[in-house]
Order: sequence, then structure tokens, then C-alpha cells
Amino acid sequence: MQRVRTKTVAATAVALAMLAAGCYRDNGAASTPAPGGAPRHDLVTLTPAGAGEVDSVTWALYRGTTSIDPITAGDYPEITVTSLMCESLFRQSPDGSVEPGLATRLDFPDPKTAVLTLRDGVKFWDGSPMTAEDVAFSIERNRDPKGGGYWVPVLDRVTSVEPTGPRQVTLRLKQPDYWLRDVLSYMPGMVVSKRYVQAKGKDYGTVKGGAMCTGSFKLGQWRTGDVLSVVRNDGYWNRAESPLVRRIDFKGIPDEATLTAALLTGEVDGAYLELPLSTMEQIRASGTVKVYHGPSYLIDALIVADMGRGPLADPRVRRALSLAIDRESYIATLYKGSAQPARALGTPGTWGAERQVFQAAWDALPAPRVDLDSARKLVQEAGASGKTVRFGMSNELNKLATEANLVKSAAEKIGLKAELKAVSTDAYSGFFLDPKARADVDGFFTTNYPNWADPGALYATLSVPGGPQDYGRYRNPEAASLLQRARGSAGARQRAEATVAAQAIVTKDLPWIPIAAPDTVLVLNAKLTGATVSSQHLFAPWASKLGAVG
Amino acid sequence: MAAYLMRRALMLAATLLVSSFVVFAGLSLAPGNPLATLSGGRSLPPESVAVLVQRYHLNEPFLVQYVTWLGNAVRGDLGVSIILRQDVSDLISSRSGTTIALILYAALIVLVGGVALGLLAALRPGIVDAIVVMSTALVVAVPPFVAAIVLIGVFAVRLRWLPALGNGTGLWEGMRHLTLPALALAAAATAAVARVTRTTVRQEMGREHVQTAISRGLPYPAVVRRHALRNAAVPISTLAGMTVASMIALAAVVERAFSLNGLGAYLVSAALSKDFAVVQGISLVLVTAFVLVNTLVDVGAALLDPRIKLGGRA
Repeated sequence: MQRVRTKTVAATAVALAMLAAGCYRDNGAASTPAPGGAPRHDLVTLTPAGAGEVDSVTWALYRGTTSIDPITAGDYPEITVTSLMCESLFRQSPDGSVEPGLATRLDFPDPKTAVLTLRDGVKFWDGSPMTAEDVAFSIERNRDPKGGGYWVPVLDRVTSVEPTGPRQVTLRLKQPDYWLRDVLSYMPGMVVSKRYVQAKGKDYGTVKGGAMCTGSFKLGQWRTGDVLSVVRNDGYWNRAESPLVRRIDFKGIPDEATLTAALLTGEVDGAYLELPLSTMEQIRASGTVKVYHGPSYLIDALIVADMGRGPLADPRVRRALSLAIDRESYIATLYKGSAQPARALGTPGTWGAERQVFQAAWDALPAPRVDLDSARKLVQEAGASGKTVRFGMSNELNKLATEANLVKSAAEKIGLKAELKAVSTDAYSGFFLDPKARADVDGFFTTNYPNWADPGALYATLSVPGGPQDYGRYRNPEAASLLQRARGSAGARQRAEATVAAQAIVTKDLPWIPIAAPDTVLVLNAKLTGATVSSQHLFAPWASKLGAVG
Repeated sequence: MAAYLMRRALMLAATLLVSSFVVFAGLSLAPGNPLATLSGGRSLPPESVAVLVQRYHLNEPFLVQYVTWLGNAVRGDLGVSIILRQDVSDLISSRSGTTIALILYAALIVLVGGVALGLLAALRPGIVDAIVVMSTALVVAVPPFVAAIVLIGVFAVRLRWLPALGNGTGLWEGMRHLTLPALALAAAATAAVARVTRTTVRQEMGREHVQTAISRGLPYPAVVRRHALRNAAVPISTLAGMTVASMIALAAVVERAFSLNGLGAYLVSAALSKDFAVVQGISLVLVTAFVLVNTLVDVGAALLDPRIKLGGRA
């Protein structure tokens, strides 16, 4: 799926587009050295585990949380909070691998039947045990289009969900779906109490209705616009993972300067910076906080608005534009070094399984480098010299403005004329939601990610016709069928191989032009440690080890 | 007086009706859709979109939506926030305290600080006067968001005297948290009031009746209070009243800069997410407050200066 979100320096709102399937970046500490670019930071997936208990921690989000119901939690402020309170059937770990969660196994007795075996002894916050009824109910809520939930498309191969034993739930499928375990490793797999949700009805997940999950933190005080607190669940079923922090207060801070001041003064203890912060140097220089860089599923890309119209309809022009984009300077200017140039959309952070397959395929792709001569030649061959390309952007968001101007200057260097169509951040989301808005531009920008660590999950959204991110109507039957095959293959190796074959095609066709893969950036008060540093913090408990430095 | 107030009340009602229509129409015409915020910009399956559109009546024509809203509003029901699914009246009442406290605090700073500085400059020509004139010339040009950044940088980050953000709990903590925001909001207005006070007081001091009073040996402070300041009070209070009214709008900027949970900051975020009912509700409250403050200023001026007649045809 895609998400449009925003965080701005002075304005507010929404602005990057993300995705619906899911993914990760991993690798313990390795980072690609950049030739002559900004300094790269070593990536870590974990900070050292906390040693002491802490009474309360204040955590910043780019805006206040609006919902804590997994079916309507889609943007950072919702998912970062909900993933602390609610646990899913499978659990993403910081390196992108998927482990058992509230379910211990997912078996496929035949390709169209999936059987979940549930963990014993799991309790909701109110002490009631988690049953197969609760699990079936929770999955069905996500499937129900009338529920208004966001995850209907990822469960589109499921036809029924039934409790078939005290610890067993059976899902019937219309086609084999071996992405199912990973789909159940984030919001669509989160288990809520059936009895509680039915009692609260439409108010579930709001201030009025509250929530009822199984996680190690439960909902405390919630005053919208001010603070949402989660407090330690002292009756947590898994004692080994009981948190060290008694309470975390989440505050929405849209303003960059305010967030910077709050971090420097210690009024805010930590934040994940989903958008680059222009005050990063000031924060790095401060002794109050530490900055950690980790792998992430994120990818900044240019989406071609219509694969059948304008100069960008020609693959040579798309290739030429990609060759002309100065990724190093983009990373140095905007991310101050905390991003990597991307060879493909499925970046190393999204390789949760079969890493060697993805690594080999990645190494086989050309490293992105600026080659203006070849690019100009390609544009001439295509007969596109002097033609105009229009890019949708918003000046209210530093990231979009930087990116658009970079691509504009790249286009101008290779003989194209470039125009920027500036809109408000609110109207910017129209490019993702409204084909009429897209008709006005040749390309627009996204920060996208898969919801679990598998590049295929991202490629499918834009390559399978009618997929959730089928913006430019990219049609390549071979890529689409390879991705469908990946989803329908029981073996992880076959899935990875089909995915990299599709990746080779998509990377050549360039329906989206990959630009850079931003790191996960965690800013944490120097007195604290233990939070995870990867995109996992969006989908799974990330504060179990958070505590005082020993 | 009663007729005047009655006419003011009728004007308020008409203003509210017109402004609610304009706000509603503006929001409807602007591109975008509350579903974008609701879903975090995620592309939703068509069935979910249909459900949400129906739930929030997004597909009804603009006039139908407006009339429905108006009908409910007249009966005291301001509707429900699409984004937070809470009653708008609850959302407003929980935030109005912050905004009221902020504006009162800032108004106090403007009146006390501005008049004191102005008097000082007027009565102490020379170096003191020069300092006040120069510094106020500088500060009067500083918009609140710049003042906010400077104040946070100096008093919160560098000196650590005061907190940089949030509301704080309890009277003392609440005051501490509101001090920097109130100063940011009041800075330019305080400088303006100081300059007007200085000029008018100086003018009054030079007038015949004041000079006569001084030469007859009346105590100096009493002359200043009863003769100079009293006559200077009308322009000062008019300016102060206008600046307080303008703070109702400027509070949004300051609340955002200090992450205060007030009406102004909420209005901005609600407008960005096209949360119609919330924008309408807050606009009504702010317009009402604006009209009330202006009425108070007029009444105040009439009380201070008997020559001013309320409701005179302008």
C-alpha cells in the first residue's frame, strides 16, 4: 500500500507515499562505502540492551496518534504506538527475519489450506486468555471491506478463517499464498479481544473505546493533541520480555525546530526520524542524545505517472534520467549521509530471507553513477531532446523540494526541458489517490516501503496489474507472473529466485526510478539504550529492552 | 447601551453565518480529501473507500453537507471529528483552556510591559528613552514564530531556565510552560504598545492642563496618573485591544512552535487533514472571540472617554 505522509518544518501534513506489502534492511554493521560522497554511518540493528528500570520516557512522533486499531493503523504515528501494545501472530525481528509470535507455526497441509497453531498461555491485558475465536475474529476484521480497514488487499487470497480447535485456526485460500506468514507479521496479524471489540463497536481504537491486546505495554492516558501514554503491563504473559520502562508518553511534534530543542534539552527522550531533519548536525554534536543509524525498508523513488504518455513513456528516457540523477549529492544534502544510493527498489534492508540470492542479484545490477554522456545519447536516440517533463512536488516539504529540484536539474543536463508542478502537501497526496491529478504530471516522488522484509512484496504492488500501487499502469506480463509465482511457491529459495528475476525486469523497465534508500535514524537520550534501529520498529515491539544505561 | 449590545449580537450572528459558509466552501473547494489523512495516504481498496465515504457523507453535494452541518450546529451539535472520531465540542473544550490562558498571559505582558516601558521612555528622556525606542523598533518587527525560535534557543536550550514545549500540569508548571509562548506572542505587540504609550504620554505631558497642574505643585506621580495617562488611555487601550484580538489568530503559530495543545494549532492540523467539523467548530469559536474582544474594546473606550458614543452611525 502506499502511504502519503508528511512532516514538515513549519507546515504540517502528509507527504511521502509508502506501500502495502512489506520489507526490511538488515546487515549487522556493514555499510557500503561511498565513493567520494557524504560520510556513511555504520548501521546497527540494535542498541545495547538497557540495564536499569526507568519510570517514564517521552517519545516524539511527527504528529499525534489518531487510531490504535490495527485495521486502521497505517502511518508512522499509529503503527509505532500500536506495535508496542498489540502483538501479531508472527513477529518481525530487527534484522528482518520473521519469527513465531502469538502463533507458533503456520502449516500448509495442502496448498490451499493454511493452519495456524496458537501459543499457549497468552493473556490479554484484562487477564482473559487468547482463544482461537479471538484470532479468527481479528483476521476476519481485516478482511471485511465494510470495516473500512486498510489491509483488505494483502489478505485477498483468503476465502475463510475458522477456529478449528482450541489452539488452532484454519484459513482457506483461493490460490496458494506463501506470503501469508509474513502478512500476519504486522498489523493484519495483530490479535485483539473479540469480546472487547464487540462491546466497543465503532469506538474501538479511539479515545472513547480504548483497546484490548496482549502486548507488554497497555494503553494509559490518552488526551488527543497532547499525549498518548502506554504503561507497562505487569500481567504480561511473557515474563522474559517484560519491559524496563514503566511508561512511555508519545507526543506529536510537527515542528523541526521544536523537536530539535526538545531533544537537546532532554524534554523528549527519543524519536525515530522518518523524514530527514535539517538540524541533524546540531543534534549529532550534542552530548545529550546519541544518534543511531540502522537498516530500513524505505526507498525514495520517482514514480512515472503514466507509462504510456509523455517523454517518460520511452524506456530510454527513463534510463537516461536515472543515469543523470546525482544520488550522492542528494544523500549528502538532504540526509547528511544517512542514506545509501539504490540500485533497485528492493534495497538490502528488505532482504529478510535468502540473503545470498538477493545479494548476488544486487551485485549483478549496475551501481548507480552519473553518466551524462550516455544519458544524452539515449535521449537523442529516443528523439526526446527539447521535450518537456513535468514533476509533481510540494515546496512545503523540504524532502520533496530537494528531490524535485535534483531530478529537474538532471533532466535539464541531458537535453530535456523540466517543469515542476508545486502543490500543497495535502494536494500532493492526490497523486497517489487520484488518476486525474496524475494526468497533470509525468512523474512524482515517493518514500515507499514493503511491510515486511521481502522485495517481492514491494515489486508486486506496482507490477501486478490492479495492484495497490499500480499508478502508471506498468504492464510487463513476465514480471507480473514471476511475482505471482513467488507468492505461490512453498520454498523460500524459489520465492527469492522468482523475485530477483522480476527485479531484473522491473529495474530495466524503470516504472519507478530508485533514488536512495534512507537509513532508519534513531535519536535517543544518552541516558537510555535498548531501542531497536530498523524498520522493525513500525511493525513489532521495539521497546522491550529499552532502559537506563548500566 | 442595550441597543448597542443588541445590534452587536445580531452582527455577531450574521458574521458567524457568513464565516461558517465561507470556511466550509473554502475547504470543499480546496483539493484533497479527509480519507488521505485517515489512511495516512495509503491507497485503500474501493470497497473500503465506499464505506468511509458513506460513513462521513463525503459524496453528498456541498450545500447539502453545509445545511446538515448548520442544522446540527444550531441545535448545539457541532458534529464528530472524522480523524479522531470524538465530539467536536469535547475536542474544543479540552483545548480552549490552553489558548485562553496563553492569550490572557500574553495580554497581561502587553499591557503591563508595554505601558511600563512606554512610560519609562516618556518620562526619562535621554539614554533610557533612546534604549527603549531602539529596542522596541527592533522587536516590533519580529514575527511570533521568529521570536519563538529565538526564545527557545536562548532560554530553553542554552540557559535551560524554561521548558521548550508542552503544557505542563498544575498551576506553577503550567505557568512555566506558558511563559516562553506568551513572550513570543506578546513581543511585537508589547513593543508597539510601548511606542504608542511613549508618544501619547509625551504629548499629554506637554499640554497646557498638565503643565498647569505641574506648575501648581501637584504631586508629579498624581499628575502623570490622573492627567497624562488617563488621556493617553484611549489610544493605548484601543491598540492593546486590537493586538489582543489579533493574537487569537497568531496563537496558532505560537502553539505549533511550542507544541501546545491549543485551539490554533489544532485548527491548522484539522484544516490540513480536511476535518470539516473541527475546522468549522474552531472557526466559530475564534470568530466569536474576535467579535467579543472588539466589542469590549469599544465599550471600554466609551467608558474611558465620555465623548465617545457607542453605536453612533459611522
